[in-house]
Amino acid sequence: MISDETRPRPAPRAVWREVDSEAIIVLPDQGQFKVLNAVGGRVWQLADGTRTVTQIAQSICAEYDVAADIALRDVRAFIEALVTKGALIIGEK
Amino acid sequence: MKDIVWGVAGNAIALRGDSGIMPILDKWRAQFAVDLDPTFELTIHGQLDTTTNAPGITFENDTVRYGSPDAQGYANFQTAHGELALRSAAHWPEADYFLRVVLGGLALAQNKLLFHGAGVIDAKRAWIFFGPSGAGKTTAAKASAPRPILHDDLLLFAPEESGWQAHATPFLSSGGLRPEKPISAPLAGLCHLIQAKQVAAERLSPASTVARLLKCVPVVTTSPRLAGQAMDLCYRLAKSVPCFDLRFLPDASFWEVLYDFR
Repeated sequence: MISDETRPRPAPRAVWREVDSEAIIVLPDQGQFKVLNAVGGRVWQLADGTRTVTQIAQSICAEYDVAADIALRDVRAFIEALVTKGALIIGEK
Repeated sequence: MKDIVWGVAGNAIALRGDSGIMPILDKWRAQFAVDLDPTFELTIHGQLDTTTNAPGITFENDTVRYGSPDAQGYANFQTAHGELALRSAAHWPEADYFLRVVLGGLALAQNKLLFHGAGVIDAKRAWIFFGPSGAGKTTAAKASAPRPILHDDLLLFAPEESGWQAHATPFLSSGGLRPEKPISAPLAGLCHLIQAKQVAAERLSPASTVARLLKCVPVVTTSPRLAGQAMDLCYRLAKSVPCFDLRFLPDASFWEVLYDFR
């Protein structure tokens, strides 16, 4: 489980585009791609290595109609899933 | 033996090689021969060294490499030259596969897209049926008879002043539905196939369209640079050509639904 104080950022070889409000991510090393919906795309935007998981959840809480504890839980789980898939990485640059 | 120069949508690929393989390729490419200066040259020979490349397709800068037990090759898009070594002339379908990769790379460099899909011409415009393997591309193409078929497996999309154009390709197809001459038609619509018990078409957003299209652009997911180029092209395509989730039966009934969008 990742810490809420980690600052996730895109994997170096990930390629993505924002299309309308969604995001499409290609992971060349895995030969796969992911499509993120509007909220997922927003988390992806925010996960640029400058914000902690907590700060990302706070932004989602402020922008969408969702309670703070649920936002943190869902954002944490979503980021963990993207880290597991190799789309996001954590750790020092 | 004289070079074979063939092409699709303005590309001209020159093939040269030994007397064992060239007659086979000549017969296979004759209908797509072009009288243009080559934009790429590929030498095919029989000096196979299977230790050269890793298995499969790998991209590195401007070069793509291909390795298999029966073929080894590379194509450099900067120098517009490549080589392919085959174990024997009997393995010429490996050349077909490698040429798909070459044409896909050349196409992207020209802002064109090689695309896995079946193309059918109706009222002088091309409808594209696509989806994962087994989705029903060949079935949809066969069910569309007597409409002309561009190809049941691989097409090339090119943006032109009047809009996107779908071009036939000369490649092998498992369904055997490929044209006897290079034909093309303006793109009317893109249909992502879903086998169902009832026919229906649902218009997709550009993002959903891009996601579906990307799955059918060969080999781009192996290269960050090509993936970015392909995503941008798919988005351009998605903004100008309608795309549908098409639920269909294995007959021509889906055309009634598509007529509503013509």
